[in-house]
Amino acid sequence: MSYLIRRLLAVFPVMLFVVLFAFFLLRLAPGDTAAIIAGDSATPEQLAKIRQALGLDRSIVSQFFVWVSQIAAGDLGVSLVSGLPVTRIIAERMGPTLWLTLLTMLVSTCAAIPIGVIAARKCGRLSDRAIMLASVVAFSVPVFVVGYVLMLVFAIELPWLPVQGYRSPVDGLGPFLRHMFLPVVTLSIPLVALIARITRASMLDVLGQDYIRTARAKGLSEQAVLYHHALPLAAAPILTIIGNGFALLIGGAIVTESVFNLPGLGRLTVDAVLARDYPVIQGVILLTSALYVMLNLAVDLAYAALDPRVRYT
Amino acid sequence: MTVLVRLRLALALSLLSLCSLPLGPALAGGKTIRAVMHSPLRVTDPILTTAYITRNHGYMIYDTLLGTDETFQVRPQMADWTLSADKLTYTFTLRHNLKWHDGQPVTAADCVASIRRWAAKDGTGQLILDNTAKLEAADARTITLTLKKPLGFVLEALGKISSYPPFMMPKRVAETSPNQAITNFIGSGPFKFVVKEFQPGVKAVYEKNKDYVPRAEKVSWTAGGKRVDVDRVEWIVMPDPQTQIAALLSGEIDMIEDTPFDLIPLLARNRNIQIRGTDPLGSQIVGRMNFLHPPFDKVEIRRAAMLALNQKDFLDALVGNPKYYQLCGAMFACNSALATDIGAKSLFSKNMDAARKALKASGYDGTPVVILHPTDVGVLKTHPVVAAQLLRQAGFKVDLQAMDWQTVVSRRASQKPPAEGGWNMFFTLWAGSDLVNPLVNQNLIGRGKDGAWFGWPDDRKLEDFRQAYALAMTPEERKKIANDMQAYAYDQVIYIPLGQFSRQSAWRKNLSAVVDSPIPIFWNMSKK
Repeated sequence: MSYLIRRLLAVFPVMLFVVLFAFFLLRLAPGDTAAIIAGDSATPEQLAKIRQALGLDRSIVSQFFVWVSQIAAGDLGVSLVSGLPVTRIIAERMGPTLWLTLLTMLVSTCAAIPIGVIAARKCGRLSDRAIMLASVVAFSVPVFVVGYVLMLVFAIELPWLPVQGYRSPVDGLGPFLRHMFLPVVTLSIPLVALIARITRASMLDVLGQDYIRTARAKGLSEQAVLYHHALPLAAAPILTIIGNGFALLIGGAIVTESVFNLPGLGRLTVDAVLARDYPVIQGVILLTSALYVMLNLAVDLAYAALDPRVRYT
Repeated sequence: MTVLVRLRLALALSLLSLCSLPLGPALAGGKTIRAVMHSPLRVTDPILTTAYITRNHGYMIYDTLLGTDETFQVRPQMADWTLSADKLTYTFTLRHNLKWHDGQPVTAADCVASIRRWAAKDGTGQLILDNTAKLEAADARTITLTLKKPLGFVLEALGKISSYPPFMMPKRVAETSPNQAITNFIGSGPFKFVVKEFQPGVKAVYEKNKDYVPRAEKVSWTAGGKRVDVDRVEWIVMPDPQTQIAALLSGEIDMIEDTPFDLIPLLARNRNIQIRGTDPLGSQIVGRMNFLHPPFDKVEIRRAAMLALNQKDFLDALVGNPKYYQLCGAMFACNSALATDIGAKSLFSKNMDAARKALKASGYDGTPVVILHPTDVGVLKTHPVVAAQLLRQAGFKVDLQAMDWQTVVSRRASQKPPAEGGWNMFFTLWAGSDLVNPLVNQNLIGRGKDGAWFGWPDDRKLEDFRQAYALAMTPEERKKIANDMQAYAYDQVIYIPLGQFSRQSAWRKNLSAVVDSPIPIFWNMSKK
């Protein structure tokens, strides 16, 4: 419990650093939101008036304190470009990204762990080599190439699935799954390869240990040895990669979101950066950083739950 | 059964089960046009920005007092007008049955407030207000505008189709500061903006305004009857061009406003797809030099640079297929009322020897030419590369600096020397509708550091031409002034037009009656 409290308290300095970093680093980038809003024909006088209306004419320190006081009040401000509340914008874009991430991690984990275990079990044999070769190929092909090929086959040539777009589960499970299928498969392919390789390596490490030999000597079935004894002890690196995968997907599924036109956080971030929409960028950075920290904490706690050798004090 | 076989079977079963699932209400057809526009709608106040997408959004939900037809004639739209014999007083009378989207009647007081908000931002509006003795609502349906002296462009300005069109809004909305974004989108136009479905960067949705009473005349550009034949129009943002093409082929969208030239062949083979340039005024590539700093502060060096550049190289790099572009020397846009090639001859051929000689004779001392090179916008990234190559061939020393477009936007506003964060040359695109006369063409403002467009030429003669054009009362007078102004602007190399091209729209053939216009319009269009 004390470990948990200490870890939770450690979140605050990390988030403070993120707040400072997000705000001041963004201000170093060249670009003028007022010019982006006003368009090509705006005069310097008009730009100055827009800057004034948006509060961009104030000192950076003053803008920072305004933002921090907004965060303290649970408000992330409003988009400089659209004028909509940042919390509303992020909330609307969170759904597709979260679903994409959750489904991708679910599919990847369910597929990759058995593949990795089988590869470890058949180490050195043809099936192991085939799996390792396939994983190298799957990890090496760019995501957008996989996406376009799947789109061409399953949405254009065989018009089974939609090319693009997102439907909320609230609209019905059918449309939701149809729209998520290709993006999830696209993103899962490299992740399956990665998790399978890590699982194989970690399992090979564990399978050579004495207690595995003891388990086998006791007459346990191979399935029980692999999945009940070896896999939990091999879990730490697998959990780490799954945790990091979650965090990376939440912040960085931009290519898949663009190819399949999912209105998620990745696309929002790129749009906001190109428009120098500071409150939106800051909001996304804050949120994804917080998620990253929480996921890391969850992974650390899961180590102890799965591996009896791990104890935190 | 091996693991791979099991996996394959699972995939096939999953696909089959997904295919059997119902498609859901959002794709249930109906009379909804789904279009991918040339850019995402972000700013929703058409008086706050000159962005074309925001102007086009404005035409969906707002109406204008006057419209412009395909012969460049100004026509009545919300109002008819009369002009007094002394040419000082315009009287506009609103049509019957004009209603705001909330059901309230449109009044003259609403329109006066809208004109004032528009005029605070628009150059032609400012000229009108500067010369206005009285602008008032004489009664609920009558607006009177009394000038201090006759101006020839009042109707043209109120019916214009370039950026900042004078859209009419309810008085309570129009009284918002012109530098502050409006948050209420009540208009009186043919569509209503569905605010609750608006997601910047994702989609904008418009519903048919069932109370809209169209004019009886045939539709022509922004004039004539705006008859809406569909229930909804959705502007869907799709950042990936390849996905746009696939979505059009699969029927998930009905239209792409601006089809990437290199992907047109993928659509051209499909019998269900129509491809056409719908904007008769097209877009122009424009090269702009900085008049404040060497080397382009000297007209002789600007002339040498212009000799080095030729339109074909720029158009080939950007468009490729000559079917979609034309060599065009008209500063007021080819196919427009003021189009002429006067002064542009050198741009139609390669003159590298002449450029080298002119540069040598100009006394150029090797000062590097800093060219801003945006690398993230497809239609803007080729011009600086072509220009750099041609200028180098002519003997210029060129410093091509790569950056994103938003950095260009901010950097080009810097009046500092190039070595301190300024610049010497940049390239952009203008829609032809924003070039059509000396009053809207921003490149031809000669008010120097404080009032001219980026590059800041300080040229009294340009302002004299603009003033003369504003006062000219006949088309013949205007044409002569425009010709003289263009000849002068080429002689002084105020800017360099580098050719005109037609953006190609693509739509499925179940859409019909797509109207050619400088702005994309969704009235008149129907869907089977």
